[in-house]
Amino acid sequence: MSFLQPLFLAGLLAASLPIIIHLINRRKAVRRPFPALRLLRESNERIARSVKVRQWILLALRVLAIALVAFALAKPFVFSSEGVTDAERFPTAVVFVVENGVAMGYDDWWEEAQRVLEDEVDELRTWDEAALLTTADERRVRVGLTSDHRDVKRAMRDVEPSYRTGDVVGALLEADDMAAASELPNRRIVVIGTDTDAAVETHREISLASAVEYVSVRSDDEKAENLAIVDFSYRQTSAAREGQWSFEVVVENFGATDREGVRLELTLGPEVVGVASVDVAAGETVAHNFEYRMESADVVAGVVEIADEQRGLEADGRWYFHLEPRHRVRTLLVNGSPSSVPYDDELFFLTRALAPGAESGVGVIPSETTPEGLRRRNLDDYDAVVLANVGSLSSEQAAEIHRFVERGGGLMFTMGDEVDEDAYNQQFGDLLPRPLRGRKLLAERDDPDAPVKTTRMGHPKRQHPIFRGFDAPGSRALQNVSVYSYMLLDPAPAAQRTETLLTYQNNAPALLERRVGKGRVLLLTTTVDRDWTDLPLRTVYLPLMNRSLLHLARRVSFETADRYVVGDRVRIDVEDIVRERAIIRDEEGRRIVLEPTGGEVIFIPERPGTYYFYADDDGDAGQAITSLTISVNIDRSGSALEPFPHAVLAEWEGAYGGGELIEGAGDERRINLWSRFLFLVTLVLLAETVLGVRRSVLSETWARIAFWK
Amino acid sequence: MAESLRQTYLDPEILQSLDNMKLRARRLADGVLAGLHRSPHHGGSVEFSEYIEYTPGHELRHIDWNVYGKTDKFYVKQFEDETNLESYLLMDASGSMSFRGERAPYSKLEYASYLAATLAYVLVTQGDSLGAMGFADTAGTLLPAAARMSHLDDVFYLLEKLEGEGQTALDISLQRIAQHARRRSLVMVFSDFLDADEKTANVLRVLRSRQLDVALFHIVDDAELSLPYEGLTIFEGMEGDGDLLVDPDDIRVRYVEAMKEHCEWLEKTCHRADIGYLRTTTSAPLEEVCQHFLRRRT
Repeated sequence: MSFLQPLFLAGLLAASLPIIIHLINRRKAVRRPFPALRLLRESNERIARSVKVRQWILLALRVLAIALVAFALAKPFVFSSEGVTDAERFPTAVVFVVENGVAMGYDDWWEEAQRVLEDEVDELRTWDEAALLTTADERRVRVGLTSDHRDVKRAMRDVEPSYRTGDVVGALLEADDMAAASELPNRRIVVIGTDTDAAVETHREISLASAVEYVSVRSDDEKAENLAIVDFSYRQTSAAREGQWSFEVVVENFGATDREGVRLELTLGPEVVGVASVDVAAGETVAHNFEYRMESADVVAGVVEIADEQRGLEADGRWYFHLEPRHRVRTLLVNGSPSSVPYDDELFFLTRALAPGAESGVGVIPSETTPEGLRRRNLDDYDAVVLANVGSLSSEQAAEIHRFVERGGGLMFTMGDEVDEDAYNQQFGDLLPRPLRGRKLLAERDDPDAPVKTTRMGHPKRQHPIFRGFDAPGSRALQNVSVYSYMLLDPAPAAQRTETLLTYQNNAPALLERRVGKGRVLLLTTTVDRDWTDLPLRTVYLPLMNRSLLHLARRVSFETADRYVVGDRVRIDVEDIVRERAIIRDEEGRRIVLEPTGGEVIFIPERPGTYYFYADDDGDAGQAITSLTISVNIDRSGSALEPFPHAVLAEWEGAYGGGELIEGAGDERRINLWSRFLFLVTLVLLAETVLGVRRSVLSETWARIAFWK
Repeated sequence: MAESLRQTYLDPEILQSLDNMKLRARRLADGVLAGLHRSPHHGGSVEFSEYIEYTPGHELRHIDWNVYGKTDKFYVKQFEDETNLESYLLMDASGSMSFRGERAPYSKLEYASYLAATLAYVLVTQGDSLGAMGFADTAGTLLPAAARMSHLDDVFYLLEKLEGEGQTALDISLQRIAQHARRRSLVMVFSDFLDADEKTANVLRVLRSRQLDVALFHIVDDAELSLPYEGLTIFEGMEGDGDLLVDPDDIRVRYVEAMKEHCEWLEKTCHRADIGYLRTTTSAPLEEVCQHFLRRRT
């Protein structure tokens, strides 16, 4: 410390004045006779110690005040190397990017992130501006650049860790754009993150216009101990309506410690139906199978979870799913032309294409019968019925099929030699998309000129759910299908809603759809065996028939219903089900109301769990549409909580060179201290005033305050 | 000399305001002289009190035959008797009583003497007999009780001779009065009671148990209550009890509390022992204090 006016230090001698005055005052005490000396003595003994302490403090304060004044007058100063760059001297726009992805749910990382942000904001100077962005929200900007730093703190208190992984790089780029738009001379981005690779796209090259500082909430060298359910699957091991189910859980230990006796719990509905204990070595995965027999035919929401307090991340220790015993499409195939020769049987190819779905998550369970056997079947047990080359049926059978479709069942007509157009038009006129006119024979199957005479399948209606998957490479196989014969159709009545999904290359309709009541009807104008077409021999036969039946049973759009992750865009086909609005509710009662557009609704789940759909009314009168129930889980890619390569940080931080020296500034600058000394004098005098005030005045003031209260 | 003493202590205005006051002792004493004090014993006097129904044992001559003629029942007339009172003034003349605050009109001893003289005059003019005794470090000469107006001069003489020196021998003086006073006598003690303690309380209780009617006049100076002094001060004891260097501001709150506690203790002690207690400051008007005392005893 140096002084501009060191002569004033002589004023330090004046600090002895209070001591001299104190001593003089003691000698000037007034003598006064007083009768109640006993009471005076008693009172004095009680407070003598505190009075002496107070007097010494007062004396010290007075000496200090005079000494500080002398120091201040001497104008002390120091040299400092701080505050010589423009970054230190000029206003800065600071954009905070806070990672709020699922990894923040680990341990106390989120609380640490909040604390770090508060500290960082507190360090800002009043002339700096601040903004807040988060990484795992649709709308990342929480607060734009503002000089009111309290807004940033308030907004941070409202932020919650998301169940999404988050995109730090995307937020960083957005923050850089925001900082670049600021008019302040300095710009800085502070990323507060978990230091996990899942949230950062390390391969992405970026260039930044602002300085970046990364603050990790992870302690140095901290290895995150996390147990996660990384996969889960289930299947029905028997084809019965309520059957035996098998659930496979795959648990992975992402930590560095072997874990023994990890408890797994399988919950279906409100009950825990299975408990297991597994050992998982560090870095290893373990699979466990639960077996359970369902008693009910209803949809049951379930969750499998790691019931261990030290499982690490909360969110990836659970896997939500739902079971629907009628999850697969139960299809009744009515064989109109059975044959003892397998290749000649009408359903030979179809039954093999619709392979029993017991081993697959979603599939079609075919059940075969004849027109006569149809009488003995209860159509309510099925989701879809295929009339394959069936001749005429009895009027009771036709009426039963009609009712089946009206109630929501799916019906598919396929043609063949047995089909009687007149009988069909008469019996199924209310169901057929268009009336049948008669068979169009292009060529016999064994005709050597057949390749010239036949027609081929044309382009399907690609936006239709049946053909959405046909956009994939190789889908041109549909146009390779040869058709020797097909059924000609009459025009549909004017008011009838009929949609042609697929045509032949000669523009004759090949596949049509009609909605009747709550059900759907498909008409394939050729055969499902080799009589009229070589379709069954083509690769597209299997997906075409599968998807057609799934569509009839409304399964096409949600066949992966258990594989949604938080943040996915979930498209639900609700045509003919929802009139005005679709209501989605989760198990905790939160509801989302959506308006269908183009027969479907799209929603983005933000939390893991099971979601139920209601059409128009979710009150007492409303029933959840069980077939539209979906389960959503979090993306497991971030469960490892592995740190990302810190070379990335160096790239970010290297993108900006830091503050420049202000022109003309040396390595050090002088900092005057006298103003601080004078401020100290003020504080000391204030303390002296308070301590020096007579007790009577203090007690009177206190009494007034207490009375006023 | 007696006339001059009367001039000294009897303010004509004070006496005027007390002229019609009647001292009515709380407990009436048996007396020989007919006065104005009501007796608890009903007897044959001229002042009619009330009728009570006749029962065997009453004198037949007291039956009111006129009432019998009207109501056909025997009623006996009751009469009030009149008595006199023996009183003693016990004056504290210790060093502490000579204290006079900067704003006080009298010292405590002067105030107590004026108060005692006023009451003495009232009592003697009523025909009551009055005695007096001063005390400081020892009990002084006891002036026996008498009801003569000329005796009042002796009382005034005694009051004038009190000097306000030495320590307080309150307990001894109380014991001495207890030996001389007759039952149901009124003993009025004028003191600042700064040295009063449990021993004093016991002596007072003994006096009360001997059927003496005791009344304490607690004389205090305003300065004693509020300790109004400023600056570093050496307080000197007035009864040879040393001195104390202190800033009054530091101890004022605690001292005032201690003084208040002491006064309350004394008041409570008197209340429990059925002893009259009246605390007054030397700035309070004498006539009001006298009136207050006499009214309370009515």
